[in-house]
Amino acid sequence: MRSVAPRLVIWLGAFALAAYLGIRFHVFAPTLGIWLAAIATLAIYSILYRENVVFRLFEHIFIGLAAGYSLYTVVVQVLIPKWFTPLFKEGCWYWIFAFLVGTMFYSVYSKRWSWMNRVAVGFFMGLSAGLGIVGFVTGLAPQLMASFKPLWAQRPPYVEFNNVVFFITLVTVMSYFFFSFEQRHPAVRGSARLGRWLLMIAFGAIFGNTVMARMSLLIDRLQFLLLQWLQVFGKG
Amino acid sequence: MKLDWQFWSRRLIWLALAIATAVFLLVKVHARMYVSRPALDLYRAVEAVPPDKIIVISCNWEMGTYGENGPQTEALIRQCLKLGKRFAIFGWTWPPGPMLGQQIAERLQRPYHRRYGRDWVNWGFNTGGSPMIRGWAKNIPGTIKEDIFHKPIMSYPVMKGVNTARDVGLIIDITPSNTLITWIEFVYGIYRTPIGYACTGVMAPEAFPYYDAHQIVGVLKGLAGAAEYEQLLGYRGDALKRMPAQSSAHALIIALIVLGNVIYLRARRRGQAPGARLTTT
Amino acid sequence: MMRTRQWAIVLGIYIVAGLVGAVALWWLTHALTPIFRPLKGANLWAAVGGSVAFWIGLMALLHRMPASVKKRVAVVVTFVSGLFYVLEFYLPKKSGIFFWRTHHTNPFSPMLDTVGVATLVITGFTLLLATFNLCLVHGKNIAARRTGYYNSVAFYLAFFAMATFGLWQNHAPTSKLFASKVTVAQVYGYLFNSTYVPLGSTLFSVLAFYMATAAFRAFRVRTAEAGFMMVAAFICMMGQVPLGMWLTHTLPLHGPLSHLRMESMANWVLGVFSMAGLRAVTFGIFVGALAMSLRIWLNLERGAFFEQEL
Repeated sequence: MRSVAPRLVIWLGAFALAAYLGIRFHVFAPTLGIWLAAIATLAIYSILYRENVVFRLFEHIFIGLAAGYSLYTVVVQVLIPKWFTPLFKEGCWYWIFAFLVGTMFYSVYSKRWSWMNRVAVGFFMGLSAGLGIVGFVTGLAPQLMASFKPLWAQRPPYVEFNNVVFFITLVTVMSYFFFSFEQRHPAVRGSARLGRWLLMIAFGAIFGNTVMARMSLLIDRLQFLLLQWLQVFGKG
Repeated sequence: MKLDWQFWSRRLIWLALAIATAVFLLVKVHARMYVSRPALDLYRAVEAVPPDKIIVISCNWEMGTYGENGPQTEALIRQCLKLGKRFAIFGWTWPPGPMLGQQIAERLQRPYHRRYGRDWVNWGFNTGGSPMIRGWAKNIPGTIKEDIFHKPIMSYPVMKGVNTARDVGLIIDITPSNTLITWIEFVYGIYRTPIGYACTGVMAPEAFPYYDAHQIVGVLKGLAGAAEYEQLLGYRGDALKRMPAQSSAHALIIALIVLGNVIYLRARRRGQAPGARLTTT
Repeated sequence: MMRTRQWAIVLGIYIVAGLVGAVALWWLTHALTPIFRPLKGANLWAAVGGSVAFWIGLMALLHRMPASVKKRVAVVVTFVSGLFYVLEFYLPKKSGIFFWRTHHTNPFSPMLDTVGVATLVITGFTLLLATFNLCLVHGKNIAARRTGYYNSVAFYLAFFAMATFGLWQNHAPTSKLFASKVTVAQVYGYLFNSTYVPLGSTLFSVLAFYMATAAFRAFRVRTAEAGFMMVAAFICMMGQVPLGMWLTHTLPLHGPLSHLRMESMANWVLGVFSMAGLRAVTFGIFVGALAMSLRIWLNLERGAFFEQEL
């Protein structure tokens, strides 16, 4: 803390001076909100140079804000309208049991009473398991039905090319995932190998889309810094 | 002083990426997108929602994916406001989602002379996952109860006749998470309510099996999907403005992959880098 | 190994016990329904107090039981909670087997929204557990004065600021801050829009830079399969951006050559190859999820959590 403080003061002073001059000569936007956002953005981007105290500080500020917002949202939008009001204002006394079941989760901090947490978790796992059994039918059946596509057409070239490609890809990729028995027969081995090749196309598509996703997030922040904070094209 | 190449090469690549994207944010290039079938189908599905049904815009996203889900939400809400379709903003995975959707809708409503409560409503954040959605589909007012301003949702004119999932004309799930399967299994699978999906680029390939099986009516794939939607709506929003920078970033990534492999192959030929020969396994 | 006769006796006992339990449950719900009416004033507080006392007594009683009984309780709770959704879905909406119901409707369907709201509320309390845990961890950092404990101080300041101003502006958004012109809603706006949103967006956007480094250093096309993957990735990357669309814009929009346009190729890769491969993966996921659900529901799952001593 002692070695960091003088350097931190110097950096903050330099930043404050640059900010004043920038606003004075209309380089930066004068709005406090935009400045706060810009400081937060640049503080996080400082990790790109190297690990530093400013990044860690703002990272923890973010976690604090997220936790505080989560608390506020859950209390105001979930607990008060759906539990507190029905229980204490409408007189539905049985809602106290929701609170008591909810507090069972907090027994995880006590080794002696942690069995209560196991019962509460078991309750939710049971709900999820029941829904999983329901979801198997409602989710999978249309997928199965849609997999039966016609392979031939009424007009030339008399083959539905896309459907043939789909069928081959589906069958070979499924054969690749048969791990419960040894794949000895050459046909099965060949099918699994072809399935792995075709699965690479799916992974390539996922990778390409992942790159697109990450770049979009960067472009959003750069647009803010250049067009709103630095006001390269003027106000607005 | 010996330069630490490992340290500085990474920073150079990052600087190149920042410059490549920044240049096309500053240089105005009018990008034209060719609209894909999934985006067009979603656009038409929104248009086809009858007046007696409501559209549910499920804002299951948070600020981490604002760059993609923000423009998607804006484009979808803009279409609903433009066409006069009543809609409800709803979130059940990430707490900031409904508030972010609220801010977008408040910003967009004025030019279209729409009003909160009469044309749209915000149901706020409701946690609980799949059991909550299962109960929500059966009894919407009984599950949601209040809007984001703590008023009973049935007190708003926009909620007239909305009681179950059968009164919902379309649900559009805007999310970076895997919440689509919950909608498909417990809402489409039981009530046959149409579902649309506006996801981040990462989740887009996983949506296509459901799109092919007609379990979802359309897909918006990340920022490109939002740009396609803006193209359909006929206005130049953030997504279309950012597509040139997106192109530049993609070109740089491809160049980096090719360059990295060229350097690797040359080093391998010189015997400097270990590695397997180019074979099939 | 039990003989057939013994199996028949055990099965018979289970069937009789199930029937007796169902009749008892039906009688209880009908007998107890008047109890579940809204109360006011002292009656409400008496009912709440009584419920809390009953719960504490029940938990104390269970706590004194041996570990095997506690484990059995957890198993039964898991089974019954799952059974609700299974029976609600798989039993018909209307049937003569529900002879005691007015219109012979499924008795579980009316409870769906109540169970949904109950889950909503209980999950709300568990979300608070996550916040509580964070506060505990950072509190220990400060108490022990560990390296970088000032970060934990910053966490607490941000946490209390957001929670306080959030709750305050929700209650009275126009109230002023310390006799100044600044309203509570403005401060909350700065916290949410100018700090929370940019920090969250920027943290995720840093991944783009690491992706660029990984593209240069780590993505090596060592095998033909990797080459296949890269070609598919290049097509998908360029086919969804204007630059890629411009590269092939001279090709016609319709006809056989239109399939060679970059956006057509990208949509073909996504909509045929990738879709088929991921559907096969989806089948595996569905079957695996069913198997896992059945194992958890029927207490067949083994592992550290399920076999821990209670």
